[in-house]
Amino acid sequence: MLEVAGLAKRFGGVRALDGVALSVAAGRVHALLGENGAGKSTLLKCLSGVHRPDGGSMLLDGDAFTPSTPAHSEKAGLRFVHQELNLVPHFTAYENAWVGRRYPRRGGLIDWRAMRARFSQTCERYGLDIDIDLPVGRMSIGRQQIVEILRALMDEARILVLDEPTAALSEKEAAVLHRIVRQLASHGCAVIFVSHRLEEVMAIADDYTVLVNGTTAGSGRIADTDRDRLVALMAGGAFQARPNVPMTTTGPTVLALSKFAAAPGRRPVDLNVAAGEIVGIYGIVGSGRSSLLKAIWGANALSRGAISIDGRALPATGIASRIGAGVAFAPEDRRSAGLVMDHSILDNTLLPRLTLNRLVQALPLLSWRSARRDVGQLLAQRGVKYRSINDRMSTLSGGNQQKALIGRWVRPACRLYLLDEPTRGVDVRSKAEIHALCRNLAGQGAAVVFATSDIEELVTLAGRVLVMAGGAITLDSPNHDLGRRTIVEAALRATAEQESYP
Amino acid sequence: MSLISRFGTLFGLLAIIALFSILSPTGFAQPSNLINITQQMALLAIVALGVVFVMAVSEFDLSIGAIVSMAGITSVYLFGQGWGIVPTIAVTLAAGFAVGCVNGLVVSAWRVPSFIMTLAMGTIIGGFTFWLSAGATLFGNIPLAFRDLGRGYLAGIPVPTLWALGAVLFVTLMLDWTELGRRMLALGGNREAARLTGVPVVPTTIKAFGLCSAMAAAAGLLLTAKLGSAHPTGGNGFLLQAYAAVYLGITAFRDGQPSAAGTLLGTAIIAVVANGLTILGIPNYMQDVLTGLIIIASVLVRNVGSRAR
Repeated sequence: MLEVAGLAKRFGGVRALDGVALSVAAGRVHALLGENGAGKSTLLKCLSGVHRPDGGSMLLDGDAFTPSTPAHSEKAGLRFVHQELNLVPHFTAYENAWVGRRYPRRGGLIDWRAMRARFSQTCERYGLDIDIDLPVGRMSIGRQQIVEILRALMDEARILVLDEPTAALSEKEAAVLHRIVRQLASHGCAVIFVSHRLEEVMAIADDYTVLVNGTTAGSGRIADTDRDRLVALMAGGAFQARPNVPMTTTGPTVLALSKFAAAPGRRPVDLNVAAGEIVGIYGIVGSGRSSLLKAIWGANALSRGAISIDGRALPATGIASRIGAGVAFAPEDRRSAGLVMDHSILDNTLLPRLTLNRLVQALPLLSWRSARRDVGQLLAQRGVKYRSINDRMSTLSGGNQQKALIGRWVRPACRLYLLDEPTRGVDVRSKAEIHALCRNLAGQGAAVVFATSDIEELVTLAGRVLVMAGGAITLDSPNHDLGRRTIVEAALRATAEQESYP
Repeated sequence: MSLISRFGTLFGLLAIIALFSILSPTGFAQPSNLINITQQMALLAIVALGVVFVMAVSEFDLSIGAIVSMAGITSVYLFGQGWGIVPTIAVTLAAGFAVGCVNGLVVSAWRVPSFIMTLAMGTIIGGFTFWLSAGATLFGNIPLAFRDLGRGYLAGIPVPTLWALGAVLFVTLMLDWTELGRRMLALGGNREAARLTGVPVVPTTIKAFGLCSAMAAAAGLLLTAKLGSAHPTGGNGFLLQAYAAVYLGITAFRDGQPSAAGTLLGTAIIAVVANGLTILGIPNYMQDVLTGLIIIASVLVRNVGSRAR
């Protein structure tokens, strides 16, 4: 039904898609697999008309399919349900279903009865018992997801694309969704199903396609393969030998977590990190790595458990206590959570070190002269390139922003650096510089904990590898002879208890 | 081009002054009148400079007009009870500061939108002020020494003008030279980034609101000293004018952040327009129309300018 061949798409110098093939048949459920950044989202966006491919072909029922807008793609019978919900919380289920469609009318006014009737028919067709008059904001996430899918199914869908629909669902809710998917397929609809849960894929999919680095690494029938072979495919055949990181002789324990839960309902974690250690945390989106780093930083108001730095117990939450204990933090999303993009480079770099540049030590008054000098020196050491220190942060390249974001915390007294995705969206050169900085910091006796979704980065930088899945640590190992496959396997380990954990 | 877009508001003020000077060389352009303008704008400047603090943390304070009124009534009431000058001033300023702290606490700790919180607080304070004054203008026993704080001249400069200059220095010092000020601006620029960098969100917001309200209370005291009386709604008109001044000020400089200097400039534009039009004999309601148009025009000019960039 849908045939994609040789599809290519580049963003600037980055090849997001480089020869993707995908063949989806009517009445079958097709699992689309791959790590973060493998190109799944880009492929879906080409199908939905958000992106235009640079090369290759897409055929729908044998005819060239070149959607230029999402509306175009929808007209051709494709429906997309994205991982993030796009519902208006205080609208009822059926009101939401009609948002963005032509409302049924009667005498020029909206025909509420027809609106409601059409949606409840859709519910009945799939045998779903949903309170369609309830504002969706009061439904569970799983129910909302189902409303979102029903919205896509209001009129005949030929191809339904579900992007990680079960990532936020409980087992029970996921089961309902699986039933809908099977039912759709039996009606002759093709379903493209993106998921990281391999158990689920094995259970409901008929066919699979695995993407690695923007190319199709393998495809076939689920019946002809098994879980291990899928993992091996996703891990990528080209498994290069990496320089083994020399394990630095580690010192006394810096960070100690005991029964530490990042948020209510998260599994408590035990973890010790020693001085001089570089610990890399790997996991797919939603695995809890960012949440754990934030909680260690004291930024999650509801985290619970015991945490100590250098043997000194700290309250479970509160950023000030962490700063006092010599912890530094660089968040994942530097634009929205790290830097004030409209403020100057000077202001941004100075923010965590305001107290270091006082006119008189006893008063909270700034000495701009010493601040300028120190910030200038600091940025020069970190290799941040800028025109004027008074320019807005937004004028810097991503790599330079990231170097400033991490570098501004660097001072001898810091004991622990928490870096979330330290090199996301950063060019190769800056990446190497940031890695060098991390090794440098560890060499000086600080502990470094970073989270990443890039396995390459994980195995080149980390001295010790942690893998998280479903909020729990599923692998904790020194970075010696650690196969890529072992890491991917641990990241995909569906913890059955996870769902039932309160 | 870049010079105009950078200092456009300043040029605007100079152009308005030049225009009035041509239209009314004997009335407007006299030195005595120009000095008089600084006195007319002084209280508005103090209120608007206070607003800079809440604008710095990207919030609103709509209770400032009511606080100006409250401060006036409270002070005359306390004088009537036989209080001395220093305790009266101290208690009135503290009351203003406390009201602001409550606003800041509710807004930052419990995330009530500042628009709603301060609107409600303004209403509450308005009611309190009416109750205290029984709805009447209070004259009371205002000590002469207190009145001298809001009128007369010192070294040829009107006393209110001196207070306003002091307020400019104070706000500049707080925003640009203290850690608190830098943290306020960071918080206003990106709340989550500031929080994750260790800026204490709740205390910083509370202080911003407290300072804003305390400055409104100070303006209320000066208004009472100037007039020798207090009216329960006498300060309400400051609210919209103060925001107009601050917004004009934000457009004054390239980085688009609230600043003391910009706010002073914005206040000056509003005061010069009012003064010039009065001297030309143009009725009050036309002044309001023109002031509104100037505010819209200045933001438009800036937006068009920044789009071209």
